[in-house]
Amino acid sequence: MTVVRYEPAAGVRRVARDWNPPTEIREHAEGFVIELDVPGYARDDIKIKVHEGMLTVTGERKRPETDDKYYNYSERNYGEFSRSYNLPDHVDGETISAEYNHGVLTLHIGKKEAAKPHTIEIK
Amino acid sequence: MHCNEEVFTMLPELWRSKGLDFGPSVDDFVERFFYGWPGREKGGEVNWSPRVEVLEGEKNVTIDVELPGVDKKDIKVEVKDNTLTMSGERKRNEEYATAECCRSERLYGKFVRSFSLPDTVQADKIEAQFKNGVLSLVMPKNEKAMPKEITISVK
Repeated sequence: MTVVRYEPAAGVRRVARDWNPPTEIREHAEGFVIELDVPGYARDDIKIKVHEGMLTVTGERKRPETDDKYYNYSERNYGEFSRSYNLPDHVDGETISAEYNHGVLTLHIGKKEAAKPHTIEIK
Repeated sequence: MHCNEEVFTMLPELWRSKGLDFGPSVDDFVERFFYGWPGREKGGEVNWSPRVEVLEGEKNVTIDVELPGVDKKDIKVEVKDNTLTMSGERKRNEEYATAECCRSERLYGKFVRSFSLPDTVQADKIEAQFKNGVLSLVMPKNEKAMPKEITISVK
């Protein structure tokens, strides 16, 4: 079962997105782990929403205004990012948890009990 | 989507700042061209280049390097002959090492970046801080580089 990125309005209007943080999605027996590389953000700048089977992560970081300093050179991404994921049916939307450590946003999504691997005994 | 040669000579950020936006697939393609290619299923073990930002102030020069998911002990910062070299390795998260990888856009492996420091900074007084995946290197400027006011004496 693959979790695919879904951009709902890609064809209709431009989704607010200045850059795409690199993402890694992994599946294990208990659920999924989605990790986004978003270094240098404050916890409040990142928003995670779940709605009708779609998980959306958005964030915004503005270039800090500085009077006494100037940017000599910059490769960093500023602005908004937005990534959406279609949650498959066997995922439990209630069990989503998120943490932000070392510049990486980690989302844990649990699978429904019925979807976890079961061993069946032969009587 | 057809890219011509001219596009490849510009960094993605310069490209976007001029108002050109071809959408996520081409953006990602050009970014990989400059910053490294990941592998197919798993994150590729290649030499990658972390993004860097240089800020110059009156008293300090600050270099910010984006290193998300890198352990502090895997980063090495060295100064030699006015060249600042920052190197290290990004290792996979062992916690889910046995999990299957559905999709990865990340780069793992070794990284190196060097900077030539100008005479105006004191290379031996660098301070390094690592917060939220961003390594900040702050270097104070020399006395002679700071702006000084010269009073004109009238005789």
